Parts: sequence; C-alpha cells; structure tokens
Amino acid sequence: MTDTGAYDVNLAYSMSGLGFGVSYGSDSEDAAVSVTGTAGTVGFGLGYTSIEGGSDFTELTLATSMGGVDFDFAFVDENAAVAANDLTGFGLSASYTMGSMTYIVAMSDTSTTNQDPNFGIGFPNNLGGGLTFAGGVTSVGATTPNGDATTQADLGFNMAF
Amino acid sequence: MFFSSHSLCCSSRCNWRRNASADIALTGGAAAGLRYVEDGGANTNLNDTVVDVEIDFNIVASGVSDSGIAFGASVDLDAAQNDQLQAVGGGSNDPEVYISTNGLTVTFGGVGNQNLEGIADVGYQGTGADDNTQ
Repeated sequence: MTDTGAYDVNLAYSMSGLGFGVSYGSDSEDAAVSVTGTAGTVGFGLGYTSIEGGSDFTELTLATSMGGVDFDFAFVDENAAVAANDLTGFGLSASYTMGSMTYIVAMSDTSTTNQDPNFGIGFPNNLGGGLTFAGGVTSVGATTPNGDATTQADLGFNMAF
Repeated sequence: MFFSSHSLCCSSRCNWRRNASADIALTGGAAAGLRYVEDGGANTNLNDTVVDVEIDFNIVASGVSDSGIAFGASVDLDAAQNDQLQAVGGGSNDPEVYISTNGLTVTFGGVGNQNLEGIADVGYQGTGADDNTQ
C-alpha cells in the first residue's frame, strides 16, 4: 500500500521467523502496525493503519511459488470516515523467470462503482551489474459507465548502485 | 561506494567522536526511459509520451558500539525530470536515525508506514497494474 499517513517513529522487531512493526506519528497521531512471516510455503503480511480523523485500512498480503511461478496477492479494506466512501481493493500478480528475463502479469480491482479492473503485462531483463532493462503495458479500467479503458506503458532502464 | 568516517568529519567544528569502525556508504538507483499515457495524461503538458529520468541516491552511515548496539543514519538525495520539467530536486530528504539491538530496531525521522510487500507492478517505473491495491 502506498505510504499513507505521516510518521516519525518506527519500531521493528523480529522473533522466531515473525516480524512485527509499528509506525507512529508523534504530531499527526497516525499509527500503523504489521506482522509478517511464513506459514509453510506461503509468506504473509497483515497490516492495520489508522489515519487520525480519516480512514482506517486493513491489509493482507500473501506470496508463494508453484512450479517456478511466483504468485502475489494483496487485499486492502478501507473503512472511511464517511461510510459511503468505504472501499475494498485486491490484486494478483504472477511472475516467471527464465534466464535473465522475468515475465510478469498483474491485475487489480476495487469496489468503486463503475470502476473496471486494471490489467498489466511486462518484463524486467536483468543485464547484470545492477542494470535492468524493463517495460510494461497496463490497461487502466474505465471509471465511468460504459467508459473506455486507457493505456499506460513505459520502457527504460533501472540502475542500482 | 564506502568512505572512512575520518574523511567526512575533519573540521574543527565537528563535535562527534570519530569512530574507526563506522562506515558511510553511498548507494542508490536511477531510472531513465519513455513513459506513455493515453489521452495526454503523461504530464501537465497533455503529452502522451515523455522522457523521464529519476535519481535516488542514499547516504547511509552505520556503526556498532562496544556492547554490540548497532546504530546508523541515512538521508536521501533525490531528483527527477519529466518531459524537461524538473519535478523534484529540493535537496536532501527522508532523514532517518536508528538504534538496533537484540532484534529490535527503533528508527526516528522520515519513516514510512508499515509497507507490506504487495503485488508486482509492470514497467521500469510502474504503469499502474497494482493501483487498485494502493
């Protein structure tokens, strides 16, 4: 989830394969907690964020691998300050690496009225030494009744130093 | 890239005790390429395709006390340019200072929320396939 809220203190603690985290804003009074870990072959994360005077978010993420394919799932439930603005969203992605190339497909959707899902496909090609050539195309779902989806795409380099 | 702490703390105004075991690392990343958004949404100029550059450098200092307490500090130096318009470049940001011992790490400063690892996006900068989970 995007960096929602304003924080200036973070506590992280790991024990017996579990990770616990707390973020708190001493002035904003925003707060977020999380627990992460692994159950068998499934990695999980559970988080809760409370924005002072605003929305609360509950988040669940799962990750696993089957047959060389990595799968990720995310679910977010927003309990808004105004009930009519409550929202849920979810997403799925799958990636498969063959040599230096990874192929990725992803989709996400929300409960927003008239919002169609987003679908994307892309690749990062690891060129070694911290250089990656990557690109992707996403069809961003229409937000109006009978509206058209729009296309977003990019193609470029990522460098890690 | 690593520097000795001596080389970065040498003036008479420096009040910090020098620590020969401390390290300062310059790390980071950069991205450059073409971004396309249908119907003129790529930037405020209503262009469909723009040249995009982003640079994120991090200065990360770390050390360990005699009793094994790890500590450190970091700051980011970020800048970006999108369709010949500098979007970011205001200097340093995200200052963080941490203390860590026995599995517990306390960080002060520009910390974020509890960012869980979500689904993958596609593209070198991301094209929004995962937007509905953010």
